[in-house]
Amino acid sequence: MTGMDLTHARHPRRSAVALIGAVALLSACGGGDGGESSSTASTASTTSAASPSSQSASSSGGEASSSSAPAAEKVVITISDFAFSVPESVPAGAEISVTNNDSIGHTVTADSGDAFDVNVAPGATVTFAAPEKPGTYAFHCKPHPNMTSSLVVK
Amino acid sequence: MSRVGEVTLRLVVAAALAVDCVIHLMLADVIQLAAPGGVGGGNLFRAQALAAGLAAVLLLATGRRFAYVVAGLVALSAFVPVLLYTYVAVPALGPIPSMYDPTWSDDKLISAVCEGAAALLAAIGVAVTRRSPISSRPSPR
Ligand SMILES: [Cu+2]
Repeated sequence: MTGMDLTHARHPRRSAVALIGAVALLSACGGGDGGESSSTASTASTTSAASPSSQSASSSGGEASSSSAPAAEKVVITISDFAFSVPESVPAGAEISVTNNDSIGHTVTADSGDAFDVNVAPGATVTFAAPEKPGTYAFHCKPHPNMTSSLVVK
Repeated sequence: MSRVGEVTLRLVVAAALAVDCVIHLMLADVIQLAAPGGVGGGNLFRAQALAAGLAAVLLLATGRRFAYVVAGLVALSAFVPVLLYTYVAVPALGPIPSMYDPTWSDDKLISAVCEGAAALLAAIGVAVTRRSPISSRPSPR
């Protein structure tokens, strides 16, 4: 008799478990989907798409400056092996070129505010303007949150 | 294994797959920045999320041996690559972009642990479930 009761109870219980689990799963997935900044991702990829031209322009400009003009204007951040190489300080508003030597894409993203956020595709060079306001700007790479550094603007 | 034990196992495996699903969805946009080539890292992450979500629902709904097999394979399909792409700089392979990342973010660590646990526990589930788990079911017509 009790055995019969248990057998009858099985199916409702099983479907309840399945239902609760499925609902929790779907809502959790839905929440995660919209959570991250998809808008910045799409705008920034336009920036990196323009990189090949800026890459050739900046490299030829660099050759010229070594012989004639002082190198004060040239501000470069280099990314190699999942690490940033950043100048000690940069002038306010300076044009900063970021070269990614890795075969993986990175970003240069200010930790707080929207001071700067650029994507640097594998092997690409992109440029962005340093903030106008002097200070120390901590930044990171969005795909690799452990990649951190800071930009000192004077 | 007792019925309570099996249901508990089922819930834990499904929960681990749910974590796998959610974290892959959360990271899809940023992995696309890191791995834009081929089909795109973002799409691979979304595919993994979808597979994990479906496997979890299938397992919750049935508790069958087949569902544990699927759950285990889906978990391995995330667990093996996350270790591989952390310790080996795998180049782009056809449509699959290089997703090399030697760093461990919190999200990556949590999802990898859940994927490994899901694979292991799903293997236990395969071992303890019979081919036809509803043994009390009346014999087919
Ligand atoms: Cu990075």
